[in-house]
Amino acid sequence: MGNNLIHNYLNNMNATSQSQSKKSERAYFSPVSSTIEAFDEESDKLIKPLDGKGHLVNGDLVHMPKEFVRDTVYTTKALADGIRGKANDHQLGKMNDLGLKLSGIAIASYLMTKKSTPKTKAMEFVGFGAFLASMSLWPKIALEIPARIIHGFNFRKQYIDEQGRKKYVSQDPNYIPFDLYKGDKKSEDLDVIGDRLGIKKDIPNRHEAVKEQMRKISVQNNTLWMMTAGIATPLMTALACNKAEPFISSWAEKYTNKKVNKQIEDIDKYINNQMDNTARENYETKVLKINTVQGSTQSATELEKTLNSVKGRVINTDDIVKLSDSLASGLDAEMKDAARTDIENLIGGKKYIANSKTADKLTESIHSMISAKDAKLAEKITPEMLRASASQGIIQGAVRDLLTSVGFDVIDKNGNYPNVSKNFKCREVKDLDFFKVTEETKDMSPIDRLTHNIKSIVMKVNNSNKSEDFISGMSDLEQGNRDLKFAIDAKLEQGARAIAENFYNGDLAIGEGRENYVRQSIQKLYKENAPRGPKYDKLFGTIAETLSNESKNSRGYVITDSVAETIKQANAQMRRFSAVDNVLSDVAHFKVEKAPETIVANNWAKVSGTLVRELGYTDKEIARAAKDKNYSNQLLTEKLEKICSDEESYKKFISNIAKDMIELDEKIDAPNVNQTGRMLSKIESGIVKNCTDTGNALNELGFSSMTEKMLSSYNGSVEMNTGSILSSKILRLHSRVDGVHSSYMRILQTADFFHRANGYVTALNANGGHLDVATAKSFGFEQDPTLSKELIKKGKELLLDAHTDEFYNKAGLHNNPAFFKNIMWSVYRPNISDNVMHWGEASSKTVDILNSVKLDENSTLSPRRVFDSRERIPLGQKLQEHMNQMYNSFGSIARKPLKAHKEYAKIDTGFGGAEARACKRFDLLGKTVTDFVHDTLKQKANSNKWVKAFAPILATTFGITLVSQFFFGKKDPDIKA
Amino acid sequence: MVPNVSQHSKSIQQAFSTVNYDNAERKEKCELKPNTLNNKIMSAYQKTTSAFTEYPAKGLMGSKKSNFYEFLAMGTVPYLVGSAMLMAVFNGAIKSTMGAKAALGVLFYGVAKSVSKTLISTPVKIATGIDTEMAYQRELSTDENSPIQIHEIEQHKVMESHDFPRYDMMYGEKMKDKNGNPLPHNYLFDKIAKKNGLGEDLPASDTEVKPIIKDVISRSNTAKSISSYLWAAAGVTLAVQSSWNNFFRAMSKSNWHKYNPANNNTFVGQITGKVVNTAKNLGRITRSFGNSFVDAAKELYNGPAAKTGWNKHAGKAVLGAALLSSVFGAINTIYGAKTAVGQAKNVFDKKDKITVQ
Repeated sequence: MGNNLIHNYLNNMNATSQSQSKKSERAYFSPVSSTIEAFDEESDKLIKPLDGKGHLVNGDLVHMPKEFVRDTVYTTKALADGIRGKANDHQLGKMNDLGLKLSGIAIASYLMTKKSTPKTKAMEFVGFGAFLASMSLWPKIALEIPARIIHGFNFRKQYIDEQGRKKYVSQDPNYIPFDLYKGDKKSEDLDVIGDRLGIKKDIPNRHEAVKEQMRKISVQNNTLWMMTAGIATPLMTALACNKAEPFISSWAEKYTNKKVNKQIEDIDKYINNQMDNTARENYETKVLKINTVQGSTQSATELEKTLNSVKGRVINTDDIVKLSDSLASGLDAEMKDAARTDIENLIGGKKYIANSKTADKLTESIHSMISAKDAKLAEKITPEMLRASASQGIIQGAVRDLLTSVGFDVIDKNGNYPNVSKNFKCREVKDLDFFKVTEETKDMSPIDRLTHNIKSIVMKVNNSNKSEDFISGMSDLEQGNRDLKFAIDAKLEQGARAIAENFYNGDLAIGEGRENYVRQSIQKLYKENAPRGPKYDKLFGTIAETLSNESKNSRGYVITDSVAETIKQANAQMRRFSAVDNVLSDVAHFKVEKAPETIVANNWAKVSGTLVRELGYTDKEIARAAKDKNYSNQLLTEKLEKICSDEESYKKFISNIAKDMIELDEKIDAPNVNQTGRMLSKIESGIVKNCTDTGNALNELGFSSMTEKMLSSYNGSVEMNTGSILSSKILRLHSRVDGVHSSYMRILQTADFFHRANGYVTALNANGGHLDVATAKSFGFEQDPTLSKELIKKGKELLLDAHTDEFYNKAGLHNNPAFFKNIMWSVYRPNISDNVMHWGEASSKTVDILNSVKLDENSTLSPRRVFDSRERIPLGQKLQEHMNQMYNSFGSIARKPLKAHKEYAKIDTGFGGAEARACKRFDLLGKTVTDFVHDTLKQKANSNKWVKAFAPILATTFGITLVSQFFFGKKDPDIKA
Repeated sequence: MVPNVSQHSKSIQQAFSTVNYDNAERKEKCELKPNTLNNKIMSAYQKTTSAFTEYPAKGLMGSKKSNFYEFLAMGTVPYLVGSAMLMAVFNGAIKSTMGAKAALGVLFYGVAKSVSKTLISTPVKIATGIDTEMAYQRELSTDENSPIQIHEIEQHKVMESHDFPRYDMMYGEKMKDKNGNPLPHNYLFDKIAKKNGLGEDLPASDTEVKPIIKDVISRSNTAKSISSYLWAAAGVTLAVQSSWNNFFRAMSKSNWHKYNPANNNTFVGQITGKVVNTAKNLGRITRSFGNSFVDAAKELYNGPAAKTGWNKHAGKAVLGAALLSSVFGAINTIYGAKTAVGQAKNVFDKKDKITVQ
């Protein structure tokens, strides 16, 4: 046995205690710490217990990634241990955090499915992330940092114990691992912490006093954390989401715009047949979700189900409505009505409906008629004979229909064989026996036998003796066009089976006049058996009348195979139309629609925000103006006058709002990198092509009413094509864009007018109340100051607040056309001469400023302009054009043109038809500037209200938490200096 | 015995006093609390009221007597206050039934989280005989004659700690039979041993069973943590369904069927009429809640008719994940208890006496 290590250790303790006196030369006396330190230093040479593995965690930013990885690995292992039954308490505690996160992800993932836009979807996760972040940030910001600053130590410091478990040092106040405060760093040195806490330096057991003070402050802070977290976390989350929203919004817009541009590019290629077959099939299956021939969507299946259920039976109005609703599903009632008209036309007139029961019924009534008149004859003409005869007649009529339809639907559509077609259409079937029973057919079911008999008669072809062909010319056709022969045979086979099945188990619909076959067949039987004479002629007259009445009473609408096929084809067209239209509607919606998070809505919000910001509204003004429209209007006038009175502020004002405005067309129209074309034009041409292609196809199939509803009298000019689906879609697209453009232009023009007015008044005052004509005209006003001031007043009213009715009523100036003329010139055509291109200097200045506004500083390109053939136009130029259009259109508009206003009531203003003028007028006017600003202020006030309600609660909680620190670790005269 | 409010105020007074508690001689009394609804409510009440009153009062003073139990108990405060705050925030920010749905979601989150734990504990108790929810009350007090009066009450679960389960609370002496007599020493351990296939009449069933209990604590706590949060998520998803609009309408003031006093002339008749009318209205609202609950569950499960893929089946996924976590958690816990037996059997035959030489 070697040296006893413990004995050795104890013997050397003397050396350790001796060295203590050296250490105690420190500036202050701390027996506990100095003993430990001295002990550590001197015992290094000795054999002693190993240092523990436990240590404090370095929680600074540099170590955070490492700690994150460590925590993740730890939690994963904890889960595995938990499932295997080996987890300790600390690990089980981690399961709670994991559960919380899983639950948050599950909730966000689910709620995401309830949202329709990328922004709202993303916000669900942002909300959850903000919640988690708030949970950990609140104690850090409100408690940990202030406590560190005030008390000098971090009560939320973490440590890792011997078993590798990470905990907060102060979580259990009865066990704070002070032994880990080894003094490696100032923040881990109890002496330094004691200094910071203000603990007297000369007290005995100073470390104990420090520890007790740390414990106390930690307990107090932990308690305060629990008391405040419930209030602070939800509020921080909500406010963080509120602040994060604009960033998410911007990201979501870029993301969706890119996606939508790609969709536009794809649908454009699809519609214009620029995809190869594989790509096309993929696109139809994956994006449009249609098959190449027949739609496989829910609606198509519905229509096919209805068709299958009504095919071959008498149908009623409800069936037709059901079919037409399915055919025009997703479209308006007008289109559904049109579909109904077309289907009714296709089905045609009522048909004679007959089947085996008809034969029974006829047999019964005719035989009782004969029995009543002549019992002997009744014995001779048995019910069986009558039934066979009636049945023959019914089948002859049906076969005749079949042959005719082969002529029309098979031969005429698939080749040029007029003679064979004619032979089918005219082939007589009278006297043919379709119910013959032979050795071969005697064991067959009635349906199979009838099918067999019809087929064997109508499909008979004899190549060696062509004269035996049932339809002459079929042998030759078999040699010349085998495909057509197969198609004919297929139709005949299918037809024969359908006739047999419908005769016994359904209804046969026999074409107009072909019920006569029944009459002829019974007449033949009667004549062969009845004696001649007036009595029997009269009896037959009664029978014929019965037959005639029966055929009249048994009439109804029936969908034949060919009609069903046509409806299916139309349905395939409509399903394709709807699928393509859905894509186009979706992309158009995102670009221009009046809905949350569209490009237009986002830009509108941005311009509104900038406008209100640039005008310098205070919170107080916003709150009052939101409730009071009159105050809002008055305030707007004042703010505009102020901002337009200074050249620099005016330039900054219009430049900044213009910068936001020009983003609109860029975002709407610019393609993705590596793509070409103008996005909105592609949407427009896509809509036109989808509607015209479908309309034309429907027309060919005989659905002319639907074609008309789809295209109206479409002749290339959208504006002329009123009242159709096509025009409503296109006009909506244009109207949305034009409306927003005009609203923006109106704001710029209003600013220009205020600027000009201010310039005029300033110049007038500077020149002693008199200006020469040229100077006055340079501002767009008249030399007469009184007149000009009136023009300024009225012009401001018109620009800020005028609706269409103000223009209809000539701004209330029906009795003063000369002044109205002055206003129109002054407001909309501030030229120094009659030359429309010769603009006054003041407006030219505005135009120059706007012309210089580019998307970014490096750009030399003018802003985009959707739907304009020029693609890019300087903004100032566009303003001039807008003002000209306003002058032309609104100068001429009148409720009732009066003689005096003739000049401004001319009909021809350079626009197309009457409807076009109306659209342009409404769109040109845009939103009034007062409404624009007031609505923005209302929205801003509401949003402020929400933030204002909750932000102070958070601030107060934060304040109380902060102030509480000063009451923590209360001064104890025994230990504190 | 659950303390009443006056005891709370006493404790608060103590918390603020400057008496040195370290010198007081304490008595500790631990008593099992049968798993009845009444006991559960009363212990939750005691714990919650203390968390809102006594513990913060002590904690904010930095009392030496503040401990980890109290810190954990105070976790209820941010949970409840935060829930109310979330409801307020949602209703302040969203002006529509979405605000009401969000409030309902917060409520369902809490209820589902708490109730769903029985989906683990009940099958585990049936299959293994181990009641993971077994509760006891720890009462700390000083002698009546002591100059310093301490009276502290803590609510615990016997198996809340894996590292230190309170096995001592599981011995027969802590329990009583129908006649009020203590049960045999190893009564519960014998039952558990038998149920898990360790056999009967074991000389030391407690020693045999303790590792199984540890295994069950680990597995069941893991399952409870994960599954209760997934059920909480399912609760929130249930609350956002449009079917609840009917319930909100039924709850609205305008739908309250007013009492017609004309039918009754007497004072008693008026009062009775009002009570009956109120009961009828509450019945109507309760029925509407039930119907909306069923409809919302169907709506969540079926998903929107017009949607496909994840957007349609997300509800099924959330419900499925919650259900699966409970089923898997319960099976895994039971499996652990049963297989732990097999592993132990390989070492010794429990019925033989073993002597280490």
